[in-house]
Amino acid sequence: MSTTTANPETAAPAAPRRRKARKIREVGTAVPLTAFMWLLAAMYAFPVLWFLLSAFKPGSELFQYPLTFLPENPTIGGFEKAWGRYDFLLYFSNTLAVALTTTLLTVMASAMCGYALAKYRDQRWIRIFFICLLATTMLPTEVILSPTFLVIRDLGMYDSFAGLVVPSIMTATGVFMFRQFFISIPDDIIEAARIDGARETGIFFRIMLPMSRPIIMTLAIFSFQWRWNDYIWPLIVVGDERKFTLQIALRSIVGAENIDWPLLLAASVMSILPLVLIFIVFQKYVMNEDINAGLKD
Amino acid sequence: MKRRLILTAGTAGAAALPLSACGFIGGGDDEGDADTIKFWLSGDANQGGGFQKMADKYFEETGVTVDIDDIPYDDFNTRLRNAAQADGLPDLARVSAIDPIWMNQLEDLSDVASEHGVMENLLIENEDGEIPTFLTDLTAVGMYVNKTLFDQAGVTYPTTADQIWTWDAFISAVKEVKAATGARYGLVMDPSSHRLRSLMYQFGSDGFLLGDDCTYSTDEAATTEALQFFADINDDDVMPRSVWVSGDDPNALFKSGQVAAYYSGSWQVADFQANIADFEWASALMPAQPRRATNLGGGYAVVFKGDKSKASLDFVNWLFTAENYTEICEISGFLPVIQGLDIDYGTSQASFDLYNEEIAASDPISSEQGNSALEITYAGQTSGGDADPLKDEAVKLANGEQDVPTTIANIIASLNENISCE
Amino acid sequence: MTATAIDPERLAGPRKRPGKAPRRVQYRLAPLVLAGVNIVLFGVFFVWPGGLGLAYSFTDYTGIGTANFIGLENYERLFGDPTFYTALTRTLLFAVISVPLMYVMSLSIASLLVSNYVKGKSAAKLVFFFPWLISPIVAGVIWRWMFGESFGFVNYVVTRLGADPLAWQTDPDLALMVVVMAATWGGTAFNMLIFIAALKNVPRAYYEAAEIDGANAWQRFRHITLPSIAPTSFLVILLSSLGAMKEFAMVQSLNSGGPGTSNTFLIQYIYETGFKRADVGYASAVSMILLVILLSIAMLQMWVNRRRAA
Repeated sequence: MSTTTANPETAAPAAPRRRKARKIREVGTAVPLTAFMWLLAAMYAFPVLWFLLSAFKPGSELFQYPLTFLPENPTIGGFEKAWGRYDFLLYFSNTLAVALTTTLLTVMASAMCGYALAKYRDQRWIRIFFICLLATTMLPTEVILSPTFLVIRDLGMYDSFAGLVVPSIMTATGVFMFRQFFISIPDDIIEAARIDGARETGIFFRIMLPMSRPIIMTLAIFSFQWRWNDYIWPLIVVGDERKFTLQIALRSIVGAENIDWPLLLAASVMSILPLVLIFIVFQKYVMNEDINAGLKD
Repeated sequence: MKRRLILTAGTAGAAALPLSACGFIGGGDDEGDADTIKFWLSGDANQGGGFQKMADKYFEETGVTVDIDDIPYDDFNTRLRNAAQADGLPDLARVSAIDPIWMNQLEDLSDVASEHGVMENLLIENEDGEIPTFLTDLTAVGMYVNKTLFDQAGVTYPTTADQIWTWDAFISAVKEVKAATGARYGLVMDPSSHRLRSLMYQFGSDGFLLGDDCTYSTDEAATTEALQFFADINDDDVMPRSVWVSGDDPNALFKSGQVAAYYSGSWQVADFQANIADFEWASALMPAQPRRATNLGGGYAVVFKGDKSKASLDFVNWLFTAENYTEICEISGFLPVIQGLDIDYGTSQASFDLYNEEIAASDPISSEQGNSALEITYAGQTSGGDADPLKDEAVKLANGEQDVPTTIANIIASLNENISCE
Repeated sequence: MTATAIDPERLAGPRKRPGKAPRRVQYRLAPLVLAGVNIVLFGVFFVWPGGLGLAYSFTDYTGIGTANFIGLENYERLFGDPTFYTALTRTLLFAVISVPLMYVMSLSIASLLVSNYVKGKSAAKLVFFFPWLISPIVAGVIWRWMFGESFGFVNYVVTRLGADPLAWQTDPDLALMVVVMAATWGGTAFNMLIFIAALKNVPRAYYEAAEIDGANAWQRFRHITLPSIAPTSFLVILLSSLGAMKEFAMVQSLNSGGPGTSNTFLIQYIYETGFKRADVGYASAVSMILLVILLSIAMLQMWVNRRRAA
């Protein structure tokens, strides 16, 4: 949030004292801030830790009273059961294929559309289309599930890869993110490029898109998680068990009258791991992007 | 950098595609296979995987593959409905309810039923005199007690018919146990209208019955008594309100060892065997005030008309032979729909014997819920859906939002809304 | 690829208005091409099914059989139903409480994670991100276990400290609080990531200039950071509001819309009155009204946003 500044006019003998004073000030700010952040992190982590630790508890320990935080007899029984019960690799690769393909297409489509909505706002139909896109988030999925299924069926996309990928490409959130980002970029750059004779789409692909790297990465993370955790849609579109995604397999652990908790917890943990890995890889790109360089005048 | 990233992502995606080719792109190539029948069900794995094991055995004996798809329970009916609309129905299925959309596409199972001696009171004929479905297994409502707590308090619970208790006596007993042992609650009950009906039957009420004039009615006196009793024990002393009112998990509460009794059903036996280690539990007979009753349930077998229906019927016939049916009941902990079989439930034998005894001694009203649901569907008087006015109104009753007469009136009004006799 | 509109004034001869602004060129084709994919998808996967839904709302369709036209009957029934208004007000209350909380939490955490003063950022980022990965069903269960009235962890600690256990599940307002906390916990990472990207986008030059001028951290935050990320703030608030109004899965899993029916939100209302009772026509009508309500909220926020930017 704040940065240190260099002070070139410091006289030489005063420099060590000033530097020391600044150091003390820095530590004075760093310690409380760090402590505060870790307090928040602890609050957020507590339920997560409980969830993770519970996955290692045997069924008899989960509900005993008084409650325990750490497992008394830790076991990986749940994990073994989950691995053996479900063809995890198959569901995993199904889900991975869908998530990757959809994410790539989603990011491209959202970037293009977001840019169009941002930089051509003077045209009426653009403003109207933005509202239309926003409206897509306002009809709950449960409601248009049935009609959408009919549409998918009529288009011949039932029980197919396309049926899972194509409807998910349009996301109002993604378009909205890009739109807001591109709005915050000054128009001078575009004007300059136009004067230089660049074509509109060229401006987009060569200048604007590379600048939006943090948004690309962020949307990629989001889109991947949405598709990874997508449940309702794959359930409706997919007919064959061999095409199940992970979430469907997970949901079938919830029985009619009772739930096999050790199994559900273990399977949930296993299904979350790939997402965590993806985040660890991608977040470096989000955090370390130095795009200020392009905007400094 | 970004280009490399996209290339990596693209390659990974491309690499994943062949992996999933077996699933997605190559899907559907088993349809033409003459020796495979598709079987949709829900929750088999949760119950010991009996159907899967029988499918494997069938393959060994006949070479016919029974391809089982285990589908999430909450969405099973939606799945079937959509499949019916997209021509994707399986060859056979074990369903929880018959859907009017596909009920006319079912094969007649009368021969199967009669040949293997399925219990008569479970067979319902449709308008054409056929039997499109019957239960593959029986579940029944029953009582569990925390044996450790009861023993500690020195209170007995009935395991034979001569010791049967009334609801009043039962509540006094659990209160005594609670006081003596410091347990938190006396009783928990699943927040399910299925269990509530069992309670109502035990109070002499027949529940809500559809009359010939196409409206629902009930025995006001008995039903009021039952529902009032239910509302009274939901007082955070005997029963925790949070179960009915907020969906708290009674199974988890019972397993904490702080509750004296649990009004649930036969499907919990396997779960308790595996997951209760801190205290002893036992099955007990349910109270009767004045009559003994339970509520039956289970999965319904259906065979869909099509090229594979003969093969599917063969499998069903094979499954219901005495030897095979006994085996699946033992693996999955099913109560049998065929009487006279000798089933060895291993360590759970005592519990299941008690259940069988309860079923045999129960008033015939116990099979009313399932049977009338079938009858109404066959007659085309309902359009399906998961409406449960009894539960919704009971929740409000337990929450103190309304009194018993209002509850009964609302239930009848909602039930009437969903019925149309032509 | 670009199409330029010819300015007739230019062609016609000497300029009549010397002080006129530079000519506005209309780029017609480019935005059409760029937005093309989304336009098609919008038509196929929103307008088409949405239109079907709208059509159903004027009928008594039950999912099977014929749909008979009944005009505005569904809508009349809806406006006369007191439970609808209860659900609506409860959902609005939830939104009003949870959206500001979400905004403050995600912005604070994002600021902390972007700051140079804080140590251990990478590990912390992972901690904040994890809750968002957990499915709403499992999240609902986790919070139900933690705040269970009888044997929950929080009440256990409370009783150990000597106080009475709180009625987290049977008191409507306490139950709402739990939902707010759970929803914030789960949704923070999403908004946090968006804010991080936006915060990184603020030119360092501005901060440097302000620091030279002697502004302290809070002043820098208020006068540089907040205005610079204004478009992002608008996005986060709008999406959070819409998300809060559509809350369903987590609440269901946490307390079934309880206690009783006191925390039944709008989507649950639609689901129960429409789909559970196989009254698709009625459910579609309620959904159309929901669409109008959400659209109004969005328009309102956009209007506020435009006024503030002006």
